[in-house]
Amino acid sequence: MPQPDLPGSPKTPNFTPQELQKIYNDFENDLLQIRKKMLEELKGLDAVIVARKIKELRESI
Amino acid sequence: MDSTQTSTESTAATEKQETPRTEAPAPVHYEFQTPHETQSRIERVVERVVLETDAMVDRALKSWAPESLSAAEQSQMGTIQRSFHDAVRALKEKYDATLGYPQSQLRDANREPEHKAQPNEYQRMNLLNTVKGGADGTTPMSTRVKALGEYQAAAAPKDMLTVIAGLAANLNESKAGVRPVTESNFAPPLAEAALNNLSQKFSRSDAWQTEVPKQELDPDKLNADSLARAMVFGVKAQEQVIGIMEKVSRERPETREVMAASLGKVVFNRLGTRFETADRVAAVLAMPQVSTREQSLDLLSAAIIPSPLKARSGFGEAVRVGNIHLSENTLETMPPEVQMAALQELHKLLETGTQGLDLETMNILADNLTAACLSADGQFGVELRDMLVSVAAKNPDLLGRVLQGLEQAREELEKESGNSPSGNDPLVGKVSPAYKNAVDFRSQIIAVRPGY
Repeated sequence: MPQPDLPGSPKTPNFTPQELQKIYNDFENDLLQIRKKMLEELKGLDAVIVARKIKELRESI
Repeated sequence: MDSTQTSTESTAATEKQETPRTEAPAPVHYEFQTPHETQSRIERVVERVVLETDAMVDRALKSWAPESLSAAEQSQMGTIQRSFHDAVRALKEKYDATLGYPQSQLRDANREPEHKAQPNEYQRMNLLNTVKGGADGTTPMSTRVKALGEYQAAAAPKDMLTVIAGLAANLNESKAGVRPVTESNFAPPLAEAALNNLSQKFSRSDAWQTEVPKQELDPDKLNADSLARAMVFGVKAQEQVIGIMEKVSRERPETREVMAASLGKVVFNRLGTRFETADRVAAVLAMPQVSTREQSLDLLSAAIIPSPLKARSGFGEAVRVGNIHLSENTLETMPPEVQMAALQELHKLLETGTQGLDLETMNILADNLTAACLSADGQFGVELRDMLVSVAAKNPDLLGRVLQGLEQAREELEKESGNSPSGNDPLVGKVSPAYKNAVDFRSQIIAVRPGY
């Protein structure tokens, strides 16, 4: 059952269900890109940390 | 044409016929019917992804052993996490805007769970005790205001109004000398905070829908008296109270009559207070489609004293557009000075004639004036009689109805007093003032206006 629109919304544009679906799909894609970028950065940091720890380990041997 | 060809053609024809059915596009199911549904889903997904990502970063930190990370690495980790949060927030805002939801509104809507986080009974009691000043009455005002905010955040408007009424009683006690007015019990800062909280609650456009169901829209349940008491806190509180009522009546047209009635009570109860809102009260009086009827007179009577000119113009306009239907006992329930002012205004109005009034209004006005004649005494009676006489030429129907009403009242009073032609009241053993007025008014008017 469709939920009512957010009460009091001053000027909610009219969208067709198709348009809303496209907006949501675009959002999901954008979110995935952001998450992917963050994971790559995290992976990069992980590589830096691992490299440092390996270096420290070698130096300690 | 051989049989094979026929068969092939037949098959082809059948396929052709069936093509529309087999190739008809399957009904596409879309997940969202409204922008709100889409926005809600986006919100939920964002929350989930942020939580999942934070958990993932936590796990990564644990796997690395945080103490083994350098300051730069820890800082970089924090930067990555914050950048992700910022990017997700910006993304959400971008799509909220696309869907037509300004951030300010969403922030208000998102505050809702805080309002619904109800403190338990014990916590509520503690908060109220703090609002009152604590056991020894020495709690600082800032702490009391903060406790009030916490209490009201979870309270329904009706409970908030009860608090306001309590504060007003507290202040009245102080003013009356029952308690000394000190910083600890002087309530205006609290009242101001309370009214601000109430105003904010009503500012959320859905507050009335969720918190005051339509069936509860009556002046008593809205606790108009509490608001009336709030007006003792001064001009600012009066402005706030009237602002709240104006806002509610504007956003919920079905509440207008109730609001007007409440407003009537509010201002009527504060006759002695000078305030700068008389023009707004007058505007409410004259607001088309506000069926305020006799409550409008309450507004009038309250507005007349601080700002007679504005109130009178509002009164005249309200009668002209039919918002004021003078009913029984309106004039007679007013304080004397207001009676007189209302009468003078009515006099001015009747000088221009009552041709614009519909029959119902005319009858109500006549009934009201008849009732006023029966209860009038002193200078008010003299003014009332003179007014009726002087406006008779412009309002022949009205005066005729008043005289008829006086005659009927005389007959009824005679019956009630055992058909005594003197109108003796059997309970007090003397001529009742109402009977005397019915006879005197009628005879005095007819003496001047023998045509009746």
